[in-house]
Amino acid sequence: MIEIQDVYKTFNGVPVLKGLNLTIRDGETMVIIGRSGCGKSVLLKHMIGLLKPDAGRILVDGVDIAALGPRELMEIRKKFGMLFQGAALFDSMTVAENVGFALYEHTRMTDQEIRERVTLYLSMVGMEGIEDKKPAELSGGMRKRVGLARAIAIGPQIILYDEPTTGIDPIMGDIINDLILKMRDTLSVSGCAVTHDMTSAYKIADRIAMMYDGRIVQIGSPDEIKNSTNPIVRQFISGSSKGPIKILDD
Amino acid sequence: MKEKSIEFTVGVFVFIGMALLGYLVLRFGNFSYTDKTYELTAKFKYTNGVIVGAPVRCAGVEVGKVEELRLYEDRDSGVDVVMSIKQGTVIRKDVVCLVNSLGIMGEKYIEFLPQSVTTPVLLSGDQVRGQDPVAMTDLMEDGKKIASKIDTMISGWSDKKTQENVKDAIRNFKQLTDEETQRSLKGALSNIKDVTGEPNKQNLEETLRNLREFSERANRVTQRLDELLENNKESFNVIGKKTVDLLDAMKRVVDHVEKGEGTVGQLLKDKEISTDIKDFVKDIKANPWKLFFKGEEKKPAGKGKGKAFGIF
Amino acid sequence: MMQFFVQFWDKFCFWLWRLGGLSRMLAQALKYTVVNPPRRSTILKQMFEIGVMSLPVVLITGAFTGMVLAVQSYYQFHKITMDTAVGIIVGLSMTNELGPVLTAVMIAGRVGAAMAAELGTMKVTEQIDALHALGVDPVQYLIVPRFIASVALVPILTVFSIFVGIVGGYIIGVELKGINATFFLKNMLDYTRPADLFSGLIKTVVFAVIVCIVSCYEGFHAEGGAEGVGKATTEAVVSSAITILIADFFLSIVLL
Repeated sequence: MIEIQDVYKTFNGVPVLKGLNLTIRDGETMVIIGRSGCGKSVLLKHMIGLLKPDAGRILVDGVDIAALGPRELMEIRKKFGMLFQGAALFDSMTVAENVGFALYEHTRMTDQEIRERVTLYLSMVGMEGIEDKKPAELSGGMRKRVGLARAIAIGPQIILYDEPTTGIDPIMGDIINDLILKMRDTLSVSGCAVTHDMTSAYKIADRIAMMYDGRIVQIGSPDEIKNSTNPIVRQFISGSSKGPIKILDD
Repeated sequence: MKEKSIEFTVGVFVFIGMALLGYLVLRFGNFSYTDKTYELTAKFKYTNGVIVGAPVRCAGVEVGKVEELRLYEDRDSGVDVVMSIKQGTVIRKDVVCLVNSLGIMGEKYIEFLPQSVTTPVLLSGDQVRGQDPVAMTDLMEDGKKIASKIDTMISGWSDKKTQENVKDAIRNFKQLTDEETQRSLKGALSNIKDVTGEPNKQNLEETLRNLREFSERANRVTQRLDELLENNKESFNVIGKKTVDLLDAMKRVVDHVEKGEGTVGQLLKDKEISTDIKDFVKDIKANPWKLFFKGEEKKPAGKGKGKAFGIF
Repeated sequence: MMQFFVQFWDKFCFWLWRLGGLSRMLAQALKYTVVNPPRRSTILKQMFEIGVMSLPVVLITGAFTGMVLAVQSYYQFHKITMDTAVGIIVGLSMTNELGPVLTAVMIAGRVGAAMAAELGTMKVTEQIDALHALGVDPVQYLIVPRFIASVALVPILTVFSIFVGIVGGYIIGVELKGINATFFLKNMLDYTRPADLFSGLIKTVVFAVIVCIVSCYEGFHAEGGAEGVGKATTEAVVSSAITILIADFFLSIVLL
């Protein structure tokens, strides 16, 4: 369970998180929606300790990760799997080395055992037989699936998805959505996804949280969000340029 | 397999690198510190810029190096130059130890000049008294002192009073050999004759004759001396004056040099240049082939250049 | 005027912040080198990249530096018939000064740029975040192998450079200009002490640390896609080179 309590974060004088509160329960998939650049990814990186809040607490199973030293943080991170926006595969390594990375670094498994596990995880994301390819040879969707395989290889309790369907075609997006659901059901892990793809959000979410101006403006089931009366949420899910949401021209 | 080949390449790389490093170290080290050495200490008042690591030579052959320079102060003060000398180099107790300069660049080193082959051999830890190199300032000081001494001496000669004194002394001597004095001497002698008896008379007479002869000769010599002085009075005066002039001129030059006026003066005044010149001259003296060698070498070098350009 | 001062102050603060970051990175690299050294295979890979692959560029630089030294000093010394002093110039400058500095600058250009570009790309494509997320310290995983490989192999590269520089100087001086070979070598060996060689190598170790840490730091702090990687790479090479020259100045004073 992740509890985010009253978190503030400022980048170069620009406040991004302004006293944000959010709780992700065990076993559920929480989807955070919001405009691009509103700080969703920042929030996600706070959960895994890649960023530290200026103020506030982030409790992972009751432990405040904002107060941990680097060594303990490394341990806590093993509870998380993260699927990055561009998959962030290590491009100097093969697919098999990417997927088996955590096992190779943190366990005493033999190369043979790791190889077997890698094949298993790859088959779970439907990517058998590409073990010895380099990430550069894969398409965007394939990379995301390999990235997902790498995320689950660590044996996580929570998987964080940063824009899982961005940058790939809708059919591949749906395959990814199915995989996210499969992970929740077969591995019984909680999940937290950040997206602005409403189709994906409605499909994978147990609950949806709308983030605006550094805070969560509404949390609810997909149906509640769909039928929300909040004008900000309404404008966002209908994809209208007219409404209360401030649009800053860069 | 691939990792093995990388490993091998890196291994070859490191091996060659280390081998080159070892080679360079051994070459630059000149093997010297692999030899066994013993230690000698030379006591100097003044070392004129010897540094730690400067070579030590015995009769021109390099036999060691300076290990340490210690300024000391007990009964007197000075510098202890601690040297390590190659084992097997025989240096005896009466050896002359001095600071010398090396080549055109004038680095200072310690030179041993062996003397006898009979005095006891120095052993490790022994001390030698070093001959202090003369500092340029001391040389100047000495030159000036000598010049002024000569000056006062000569000017004393040319003094009229001194000349008069000398003349008086000669005149007195002449008076002593005067006829009157001779006569009174004769009187005294005849008195003595009266006193003495017959048997001694002949002996006495002989003695007196001898005396007379001697005094006559002395008379002649003084007369000649007197004439000589009288005749050459003028020329003596001239010589005296000229010597004074010459010494004045010399003194002026030395003064100029002291002040560092004039080109030569400046050259001599500048310690570095003068030591350099000294060293240069010494070097050329020691290795006169350098002059010829360069001159001869230019020609083949030119030819070589021509050939090389021909290739390009 | 006030604005100028404020700008200057901001720059200065930024510089201090970077200096702090660099020192911290160096401390971490040193710590992990001792406490938890990386796998042999990763170090070997970096050694191959940094050491063996840099050899051609270092050999060419070293050889031509020695040759230029010989040509230039020959013309000057020939005027005063001290041709054989060319050996001293070549020997001393190569071991003490030009060998280490030019090798380090070439390494900054070749290896430093590669490090900054590689790590910068990893940074902007979130691969460094991914390492964090997989419970691995990027400093330990990415920088320490490069650090160890640089510190171990750049001095060896310098030895190569010194050696070919001296050989190059010898060829120009003795073969082309006709300087007497015996006196050329004798003067060189008399005036170049092993201590000069070692002070050159100590310098090189410092330079290797500078190149590696500055380049990795720039890579780690790359921001904003391909352009950011480009900037980081440029900054890495320029900063390393300048820092090398400044460090060389102070090291020369300390080591002489």
